[in-house]
Amino acid sequence: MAKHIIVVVREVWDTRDIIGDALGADGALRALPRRFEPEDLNSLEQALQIKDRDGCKVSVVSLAPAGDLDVLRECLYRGADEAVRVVAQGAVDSAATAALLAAAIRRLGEHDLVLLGVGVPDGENSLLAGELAGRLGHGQITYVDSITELSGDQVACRREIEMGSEFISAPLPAVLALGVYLLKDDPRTPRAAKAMLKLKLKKAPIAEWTATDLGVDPAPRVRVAALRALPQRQVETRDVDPGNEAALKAMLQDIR
Amino acid sequence: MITSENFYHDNPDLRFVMEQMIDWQTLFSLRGDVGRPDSPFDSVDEAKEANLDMLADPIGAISAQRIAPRAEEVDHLGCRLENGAVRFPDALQRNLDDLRDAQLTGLTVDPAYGGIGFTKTFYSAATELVSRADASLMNFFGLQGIADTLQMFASEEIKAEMLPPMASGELSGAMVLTEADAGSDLGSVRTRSTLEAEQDPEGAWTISGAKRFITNGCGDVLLVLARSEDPAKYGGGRGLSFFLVTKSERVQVRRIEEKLGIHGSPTCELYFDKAPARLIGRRGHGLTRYTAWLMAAARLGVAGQSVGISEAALREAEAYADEREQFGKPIRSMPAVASMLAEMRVATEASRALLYATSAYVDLQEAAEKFGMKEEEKRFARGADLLTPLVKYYTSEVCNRVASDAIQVHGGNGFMKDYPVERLFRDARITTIYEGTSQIQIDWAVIRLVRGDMAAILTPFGELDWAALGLAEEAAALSATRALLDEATAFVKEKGAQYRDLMARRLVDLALDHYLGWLLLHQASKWDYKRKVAARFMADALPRMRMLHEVVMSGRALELEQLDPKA
Repeated sequence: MAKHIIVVVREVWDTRDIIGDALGADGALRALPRRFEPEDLNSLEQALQIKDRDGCKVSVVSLAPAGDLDVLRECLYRGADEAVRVVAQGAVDSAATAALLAAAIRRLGEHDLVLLGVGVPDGENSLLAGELAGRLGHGQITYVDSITELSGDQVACRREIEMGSEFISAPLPAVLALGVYLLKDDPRTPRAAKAMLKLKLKKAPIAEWTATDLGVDPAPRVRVAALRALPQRQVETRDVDPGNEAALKAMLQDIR
Repeated sequence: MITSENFYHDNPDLRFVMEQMIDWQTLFSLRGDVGRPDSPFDSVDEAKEANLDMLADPIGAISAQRIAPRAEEVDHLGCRLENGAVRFPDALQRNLDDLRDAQLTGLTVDPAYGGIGFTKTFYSAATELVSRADASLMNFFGLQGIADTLQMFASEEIKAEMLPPMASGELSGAMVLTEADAGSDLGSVRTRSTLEAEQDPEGAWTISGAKRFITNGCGDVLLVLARSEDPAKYGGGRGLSFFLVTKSERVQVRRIEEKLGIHGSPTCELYFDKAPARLIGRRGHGLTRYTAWLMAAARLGVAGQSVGISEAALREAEAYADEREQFGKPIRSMPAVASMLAEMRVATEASRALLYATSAYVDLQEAAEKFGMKEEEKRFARGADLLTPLVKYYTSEVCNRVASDAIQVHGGNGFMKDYPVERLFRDARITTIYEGTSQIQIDWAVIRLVRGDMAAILTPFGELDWAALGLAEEAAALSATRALLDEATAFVKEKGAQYRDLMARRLVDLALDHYLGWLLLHQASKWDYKRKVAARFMADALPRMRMLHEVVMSGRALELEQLDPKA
């Protein structure tokens, strides 16, 4: 039977070109451009490659309204079969995020894999994959570099760890958190949108499920007391005599 | 090499032209694109937004992130002929796969046949973006004109069979025109010795003979120009017809050329051995109607390619000049370098303005033709017929100059393979030659100039209220040169064909300067930055027009005398 892969996708701040304070003069976070969370995009690509090769159904789910770009529609433009938007009012903390997404994933039906980026965006805590696995009762593999095999009731992955790679397999269904290190002209590089799909699916309706639909109470259990910017690091240049070992060691100590 | 995430987003000039200079309203309404039941768009704004969005993703994204980083490898390895089959370097194959995966292989093919059916304007922009990434890839990307030609002239049966796989990228095409002794002069395509089209009693055709310099001759769908008529009855171009030949063992690639540039484009010598062929359109119209149409499309394609090369070379030069320090400062701060860069930028932006002005005429003409609007078709066709050779000539000459100057800005480094500018320079070199040399374009254009086809193109600029746009002085200065152009044109006309051909290049340059002046002034009315560009252009163009006028008006045919010190 054809597999069903669900990919969790997120729209995140594009933090690549931040210069200066992250907080504006009013103490609020500065408005930054948004982008498709790159590891989620890598996850989608892995799912779509399995679809191209073996045929499978790829569903995508996202929490949050469509922002600067609609990540769900971007997924459809690349070949995803089904997209669902989970809509919740007000601030949603990590626990509620996981509860809502887990409920949505369950509602999407029988599935074999849940893929998502290893996840810096959720409060920088990378908890989502683990929380989803826990709530869904699936096994979890983190830091997945590539899916090497998906057959029968097993998934095998290569996992990047310190000093090398680890090959690991898990029974299906499983949650995989991807952290893909892309090489030059890597075949895993996420594809671009497809022109014809873009025209066809421009206005395709995307299902919206609310917390009530999903039977989840999204009330936050974490309260943000305050946001404070990290003080800017002062960098001063110093010349160190490369022949002087003591001075070099002192410099290393200072940097640390 | 400088890197970018997206070749559309990072290009303010292209975005400005697409967003503000193109009259999408007229274009879409005339084509009947919007509001039709099968149209994906409800409004012009929506269609425009979708067009621009598509230029960014997938085209701008793929060009920047995938195609451009592979250009060096494609150039370095080139294509090879092994056991009669052409082998592409892996990087080229990946480019072709990417274009196909992103569904960019049927941009102008009618949706009824599996294409997207977008405008030539859009296609020109796509061509520019892809060519900036890798000029040689344009020679595949640009072959979508083959499908266009079939769409225009082939039977319903051929269209239904060939267009869907061409639109999906499953099949690629080639235009098979040139022979060893028939280059610019296609009317001399031979009968017995080189190429023969015979008809058997059932009316089926076969083709025999050799063709040369065939871009992607290893492709699947070949449009072949061949002599079908008895030369005693119908000599020259009138005896040529257009045929569709599909790849088979009866078509052999005998060799591929070793070239100066565009190494990613296989240039084949083909041998047809009684290859089965199907007639396209009417007998005897092969050159005059179908080849002419295909060539016009190809010329616009080369113009897009040229603008892409100019853009790439300009950017490399600007980046290098900012980074490279000599005498303790970036070389860009030195007037000699700064002036070179300014000239390159003005020429590149002028090229682009001309490319899209021409593309619009071509779109409008095709739309008018499609909907049987005779009066409009005639008017737009005159514009397109004059502007197409002008844009091919101008943009290709400019990209050669810009690429050469980009090397100059790089100094010794530019001469080395470590920097991409030497590749751009080599790739640029073909643009003034193929699809008709610059001299052929000038020849073509000057006849139309002398016939008076320029006037209608200039009319819209005369109707603008330049004072209200704050450009009264500039417009007046440019208006004054109209008399120079008219006088020179009338003079050449009166002096006869030989003098016309002798002065053709100067008269065409004069017309180009005048027209480009208006295009840039028009841009300046919509974007303040362009006031500087227009001013910089006029600073050179105004005195140049006076000079060209003076030479043309001299009436002296000095250049026709042989310069031979031995005589």
